[in-house]
Amino acid sequence: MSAGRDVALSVAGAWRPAPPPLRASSERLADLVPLLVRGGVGALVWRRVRLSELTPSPRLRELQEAHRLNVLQAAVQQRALRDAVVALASAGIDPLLGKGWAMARLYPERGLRPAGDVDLYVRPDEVEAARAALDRSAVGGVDLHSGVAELDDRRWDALCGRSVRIAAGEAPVRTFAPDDHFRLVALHMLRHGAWRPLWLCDVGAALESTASPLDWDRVLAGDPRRARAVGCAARLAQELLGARLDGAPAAVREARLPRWVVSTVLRQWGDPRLEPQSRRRPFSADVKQAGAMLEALVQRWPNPIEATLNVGGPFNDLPRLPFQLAECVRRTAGFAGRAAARRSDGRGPAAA
Amino acid sequence: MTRKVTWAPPRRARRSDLVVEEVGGETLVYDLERHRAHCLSATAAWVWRHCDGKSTAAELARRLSRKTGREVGEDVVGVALHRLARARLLDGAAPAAEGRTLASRRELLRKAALIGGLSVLSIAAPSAGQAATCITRAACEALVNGNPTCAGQPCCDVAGKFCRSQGCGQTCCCHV
Repeated sequence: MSAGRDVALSVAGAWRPAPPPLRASSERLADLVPLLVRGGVGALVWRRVRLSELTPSPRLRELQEAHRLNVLQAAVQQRALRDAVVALASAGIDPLLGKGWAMARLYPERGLRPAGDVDLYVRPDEVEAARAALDRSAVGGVDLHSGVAELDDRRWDALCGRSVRIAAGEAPVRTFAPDDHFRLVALHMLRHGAWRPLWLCDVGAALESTASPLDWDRVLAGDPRRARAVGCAARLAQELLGARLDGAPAAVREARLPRWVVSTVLRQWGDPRLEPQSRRRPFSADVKQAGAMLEALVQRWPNPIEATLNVGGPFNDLPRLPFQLAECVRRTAGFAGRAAARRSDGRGPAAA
Repeated sequence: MTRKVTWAPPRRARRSDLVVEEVGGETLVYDLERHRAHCLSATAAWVWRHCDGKSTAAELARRLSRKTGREVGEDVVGVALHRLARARLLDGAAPAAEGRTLASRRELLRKAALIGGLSVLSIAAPSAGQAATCITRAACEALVNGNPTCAGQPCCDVAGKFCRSQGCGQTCCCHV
């Protein structure tokens, strides 16, 4: 069985209060540790190990370390979130909290989900004031977003109107309504090629949340291509992680999941050499050496999932090559545009 | 083998710039100043909490004996204090040697194990996630977008994110 499939089996249903029994051997799991930790699911698998009869080897203890770090990071972030909310309130800005910290609430224990930083979303016309307020208060660890790129087919006021208040320590903060949030995390996952198993666990946890049930009419409202992509993310969580689609409409439950989606995801999850787009050297650093440039181009060949989403293509069984080529053109145009802009104002080379 | 170790005057537990969380019988401590994480066993955590700046190692040992119902020597508490100080979880400098004979290390650890161990572990960032040298968010954001230095190093203070150009504005940023 492939490493990617083993990773999927290790995290299947891991977000549930009573996860299914772990069937992998201690040795096999130990081999997967680097992939699990890289994928952000180390703590989730550690919980399954704890609940199983496996004897944790020193290698498996790395998963426990991931859990401990998650617990501490969440506590540190709670302080950052409180400080950020206070700083923004002083500037009259009421942000929306999304992704990591907010998604972690859907998991049954503290520390199961790592959260890199605090994602706060503000109206695009308030972003400069928000940044200045955070700088004045020296609040770190906040990823400030101007609007919500994944939900730009919805009005900001509508997102705010449906938002819900949650307690983040002493500071109440607004977060997206469950259906908006589900759409956001599903599209965010696809936009990054679904290379982290954690993101698909988020989709599974949101699908099965009884505390925050989904209103599927709202999930699927807006741009129909994106709605189909969101449906595809839900089916992917069902196919790979056994997520339950009980409340989903037939259009989602019975939608055909293109084969290339599953194979792309499993290939990435199981590839120890995978270098996600975000961790690559900027293209500008390689562009001057022919050998490095060729390698950089090969590395940058677009993942079919992100290519399909980024060029607004349909998630169907047709070959992905046209979308990958279109994504190459889109990226190259972006690179050239940034390079030209930098040349004109005398700054360094652009990044790709 | 024996060694001479001495215990310094009573110490006070450091309280500032620390985030403390309790999980499954362990006490997890994050040092906001040094960006280090520690995991304290139940006994080490008890000793740490009772470092009030007045109680000596001998007094702490007596109280710990009463609490656990087992005899706990001053040397056992002393080792816990030493480890806590080394992890910078006590105010002031590390304890100095004083000239008291300790039992063998093995014997000491055996005694410590009876009361739940004395470990003060430094929690390392999992290797796969933090393979490369990390960069602070501030240092990352100080790089002009396009700077080759902005090459996907992990951001030390923003776990799970990497310093990169793609998707950022004028400067590099920590992103997934």
